[in-house]
Amino acid sequence: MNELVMAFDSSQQALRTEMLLEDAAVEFELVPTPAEITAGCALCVAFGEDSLERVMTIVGEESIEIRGVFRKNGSAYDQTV
Amino acid sequence: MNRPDDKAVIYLDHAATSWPKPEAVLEAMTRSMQEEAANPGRGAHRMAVSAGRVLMRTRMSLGRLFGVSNPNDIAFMPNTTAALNQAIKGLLLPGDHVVATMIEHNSVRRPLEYMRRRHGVQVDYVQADESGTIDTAELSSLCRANTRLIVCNHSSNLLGSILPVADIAQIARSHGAYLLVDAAQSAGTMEIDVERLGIDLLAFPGHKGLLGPQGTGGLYIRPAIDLTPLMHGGTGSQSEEAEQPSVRPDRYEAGTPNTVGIAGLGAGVRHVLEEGAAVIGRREWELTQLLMEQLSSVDGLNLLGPKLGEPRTGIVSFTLDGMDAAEIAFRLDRHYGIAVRAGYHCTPLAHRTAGTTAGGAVRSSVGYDTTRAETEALTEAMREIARSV
Ligand SMILES: Cc1ncc(COP(=O)(O)O)c(C=O)c1O
Repeated sequence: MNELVMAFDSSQQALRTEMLLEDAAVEFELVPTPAEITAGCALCVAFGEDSLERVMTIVGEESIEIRGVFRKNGSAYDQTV
Repeated sequence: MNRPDDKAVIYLDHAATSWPKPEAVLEAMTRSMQEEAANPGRGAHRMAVSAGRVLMRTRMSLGRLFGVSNPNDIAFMPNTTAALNQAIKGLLLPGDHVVATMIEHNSVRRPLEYMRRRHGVQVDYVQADESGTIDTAELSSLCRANTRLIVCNHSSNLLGSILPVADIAQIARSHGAYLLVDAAQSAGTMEIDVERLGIDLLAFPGHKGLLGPQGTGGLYIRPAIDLTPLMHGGTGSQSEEAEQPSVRPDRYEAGTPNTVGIAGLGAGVRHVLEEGAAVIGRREWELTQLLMEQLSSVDGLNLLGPKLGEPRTGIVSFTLDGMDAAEIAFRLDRHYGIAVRAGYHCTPLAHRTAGTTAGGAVRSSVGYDTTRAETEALTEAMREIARSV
C-alpha cells in the first residue's frame, strides 16, 4: 500500500524524484496531487510507510525541493514531513 | 572543382551553429514531435508527463557533462544570448561593478553596456593581446570592493583563443565576486566541470558544440545564487501565486519550453558524452593545426589568434592582403561551395584587439564531423583566390 504522498512545487522536481527512486529500486507510483493538498505541481510520488526513510535520504542527498509528505487520514491529508 | 565527401556544401561555420547534426538528434526530434510533444508540466496526463521526462533526461545529461550534481540548477534557454542576459540582468544591481574582457561577444557587451547606461552599473574591460589572451594580474587589479561579477568567454569566437577560467575563478573568489562564463565556443569540445573550475554561472548554447537544434541553450546557476527572473509567467506550477515561483528550474523557465528541440539537444549531448568532449576537441584542434599549416603557405594570407602548436578551439580566422573578408567569403561560397563567416562576428572589440577593424576577417571553423579533405579544399580555394588579387 502506498499510503504516503510526496508533493512538489515543480513537475521537474517530481520527475527527478521519479528517476532517482527508479534507480534506487524503491517501489512507488506517480499519482495526481490530491485536491486536499496545496502544492505547486499536479504530480505526486506515492510510496509505502516502510520506504519513507530511504526516500527522505535520497531526496535530501540530491537536494530535491519538496512541498511535503502527507498521509491520508479519512478524507483529509495530514502532513508528516 | 570537386567537392569532397559528396556533401552539397563544405560547411566550415560550426562556430556559428553546428551542421549537420548527428542522425540521433533528428530521430529524437521526430519521435518527440510524433509521440510525446504535449506541454510538459501543464497537466498530468501521460503525454504531458512524458514530455516532462524528456526535459529531465536532457537536464540530467547536461548535468553529467558539466559536473552539475543537481540538474535542476540548469535552466533551459533559447540560446546563449538569453542565458547571458538572464545572468547579467538578473544579478546586477545599481552600484555594482563588473569586469569583462575586450574580446567578449556582443551578447555580453551589450547587456553590460545597457546595465551601465540604464542601471548605474560600472564596467571595466581588461585588455587582450593580439592572440586573444589576457593578463590575469591586470584583471585582478581592475577588481574593486564593489565588484560583483567577472564575465568572460571560455574561448573567443573570433580568435579561438582559450581563457584560463580556473585562474579567473580564483581571482573572482578572492574579490568576493561571481564568475559568469560564456561557453558558446567551448561547450561540447572542452572539458567543463563547473565545480572543479569554480564557475558560478555558465551560459551555453545547445546548437553549437552540443549538436542540438537552434533554439536551445541553457544557464547553470550555482545553488546559492538567486537571480531575478527576466521572464515572468506561467510555469505550470504554483499557479495560484502571483509571484514567480522560487523553485528551480521553474523560476527561470516561464512559458512553454522548446520540448522538441530539447529532445534533440538531449541526443546531441549524449553523442558528446559517448565520444568525450575532450576527444572531440582534440580532433578539432588537430584539424586546425593542419589547416593553419596549409593556409600559412598561401601568399598574403595572415592567420589570427594563437600560434601553431598552442591551444585553441576549432576556429581559424584569417585576412588576405588586398581583399575584403566579405568578398573572400562570397567567392568561397559561390565558386567553391565552402560556407564560412566573414565580417565582425558580433565582436568589434576583439577586432580592434586583433587589428582587423578595417576589412573584418574570414572565420572558418571545424566541427565534430569535419574531414581533412574539407580543410584541404579551403586551402586550395584560398590559393586560387590569392592568385587573383
Ligand atoms: C562567444 C559567443 N558568445 C555568445 C554567442 C551567442 O550565442 P547564441 O547565438 O547561442 O545566442 C556566440 C555565438 O554566436 C559566441 O560565439
